Amino acid sequence: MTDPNAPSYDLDQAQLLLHSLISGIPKPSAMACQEQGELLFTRLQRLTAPSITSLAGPSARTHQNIDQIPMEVPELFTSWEDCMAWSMEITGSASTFVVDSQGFIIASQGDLPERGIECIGAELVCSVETLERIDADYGKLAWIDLDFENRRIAGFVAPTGEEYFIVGLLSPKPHYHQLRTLLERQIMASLPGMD
Amino acid sequence: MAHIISIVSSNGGAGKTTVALNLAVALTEGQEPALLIDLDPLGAIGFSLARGATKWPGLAEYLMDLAAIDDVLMPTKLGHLTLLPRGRLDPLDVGLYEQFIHGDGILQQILGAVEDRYRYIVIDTPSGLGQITRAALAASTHTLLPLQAEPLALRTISQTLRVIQHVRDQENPGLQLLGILANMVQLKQDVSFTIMNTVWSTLSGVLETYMPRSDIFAQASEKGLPVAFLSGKYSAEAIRFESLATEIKSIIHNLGGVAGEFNDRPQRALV
Ligand SMILES: Nc1ncnc2c1ncn2[C@@H]1O[C@H](COP(=O)(O)OP(=O)(O)OP(=O)(O)O)[C@@H](O)[C@H]1O
Ligand SMILES: [Mg+2]
Repeated sequence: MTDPNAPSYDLDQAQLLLHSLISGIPKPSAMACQEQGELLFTRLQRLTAPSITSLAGPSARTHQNIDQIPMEVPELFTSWEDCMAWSMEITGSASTFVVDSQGFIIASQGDLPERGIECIGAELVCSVETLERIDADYGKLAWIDLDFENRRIAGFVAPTGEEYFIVGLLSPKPHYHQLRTLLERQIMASLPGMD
Repeated sequence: MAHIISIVSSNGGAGKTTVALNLAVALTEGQEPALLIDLDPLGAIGFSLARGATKWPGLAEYLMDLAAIDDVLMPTKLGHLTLLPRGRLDPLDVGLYEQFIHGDGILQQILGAVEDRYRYIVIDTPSGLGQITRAALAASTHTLLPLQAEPLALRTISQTLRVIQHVRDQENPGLQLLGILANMVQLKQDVSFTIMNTVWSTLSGVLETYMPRSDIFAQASEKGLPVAFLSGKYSAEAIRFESLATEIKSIIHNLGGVAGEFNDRPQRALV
C-alpha cells in the first residue's frame, strides 16, 4: 500500500488474542495479551448482573423456593442506607424508601418514578391509619401490600414506640413474600442502633 | 460426541445466520448427521427458511415444559440435517429467554441429551456478546467467527476474541477457535481489498475459504433456502460452502478431534 492516506488498523490486540486462542496453550505472548487485555478492557466487577433467580418473573421454571435465593443475613444495620440496600437486593425491588409517621420520605434508593413519589409517603401513612380502624382488636398493621395493575408497592410498618417508619419496596419480585419474616426480624433488631 | 460449532460475532449482519445455515447444509452433504440450532431469540434461522413467522415449536416450548426435546427436533428434507428452531417465542419475552438459555447449564443439558445422534451441531447466535453468545460458547467445542470485510468489523474484532478467550479460560477449557471466516468480500472494491490485505497479512487463524459478497444470498433468502438448494446451475457460493466444510473438518481433525468418523457409521453398499 503506497497511498499515504490508506486507512490503518491497529490489530495488535486482536493478533495477541488470536495467538493465545489458536495455539491453544498459553505462551508468553498470551500473558502479554492478558496484561494488555486488562488495560484495554475495563471489568465492571461490581455491576455484574443479578442472577436468574433474582431477575426472572413468575413462571414455571422461575418459581422460586426461598432456599434458592442467594442471601446472607447481614450484621445489624446502623443506617437506613444499609437497610434499604439490603432490602432492595434480596427482594429484587426497583427501589426502596423509608417513610416517617408524618408521611415524609426520609430516605430512598434505586429507580424511583419521576412523578408521584412524594404522594406515596403520605398515602401510605394515610392507608395505615385507615386500615387500622377496621378493628382495634386486630392490633397494629405490620405490612401493606398494594398490588396495582402496573406496579406493586409493599411496605413493612416498623413501630418505634408511638411513632413508626414504613420501609417501602417498589415493585418487589414475587418471592419477596417469602422474605417478609426475615426483613421484619432484621429491621426490628436493627432499629435501636440506627441513626 | 458431536463437534459443537458456535457461529459468533459481535457485529450484527456479519453473516452468522447465513454461515450457520449454509455450513450446516454443507457439513451434512458428507452424509454425516448434523443439527442446526437457532439460538437467536429473534429466530433468524426460522425466518431464513420460511417466508413469515414460523409455527415451528422449538426451544421456547421446551424451556416452558410444553414439549419434550424430541418433539421439537425438526427433520428436514435433507435427511441428515435436523433443525432445532427457536419456537414461538413471544418477542416480549426475549429478555427472559436470554436468562433461561444462560442459566443453569440448560444448553449443556439440551446438548447432552441429543449430541450422540449428530456428528456436527451448528449453533447460530445473536449479535452482540450477550448472555446467549456466552452460553453458546460455554457449551461448544468449537467456534467460528464470521468477519464482514468492512472497517468497523475489523476494528471491533478484538471484542469477540476477548469473549472467546474469557470463556475458554474461565468456563470451557475445551473451546477451540476454528478461525475467522471473511464474509462479503469484494476484492474489486478498494476498501474491501485493503481490509482483506490487512486481515491476511496481520491476523492468524484466517480461514483459507472466504465468502465473496454475492446477490445469490439475497435470492436464497427470498426463497427461504440454503444457497445449495436454489434451482439452476450449482452456484459458486454453494461450492465455497463445501470448501468451507472441508476446511473446517480438516481443522477439527488437526486440532485433535476425529472429524469425518461418526462412531456409529453404518456399513454401506458400494455397488
Ligand atoms: N456473502 C454475502 N454476500 C451477500 N450478502 C450476504 C452475504 N452473507 C450474508 N449476506 C446477507 O447479509 C444480511 C445479513 O446476514 P445474516 O443475517 O446472515 O447476518 P447475521 O450476522 O446473522 O445478522 P444478525 O446479527 O442480525 O443475526 C442478510 O441479508 C444476508 O442475506
Ligand atoms: Mg443472525
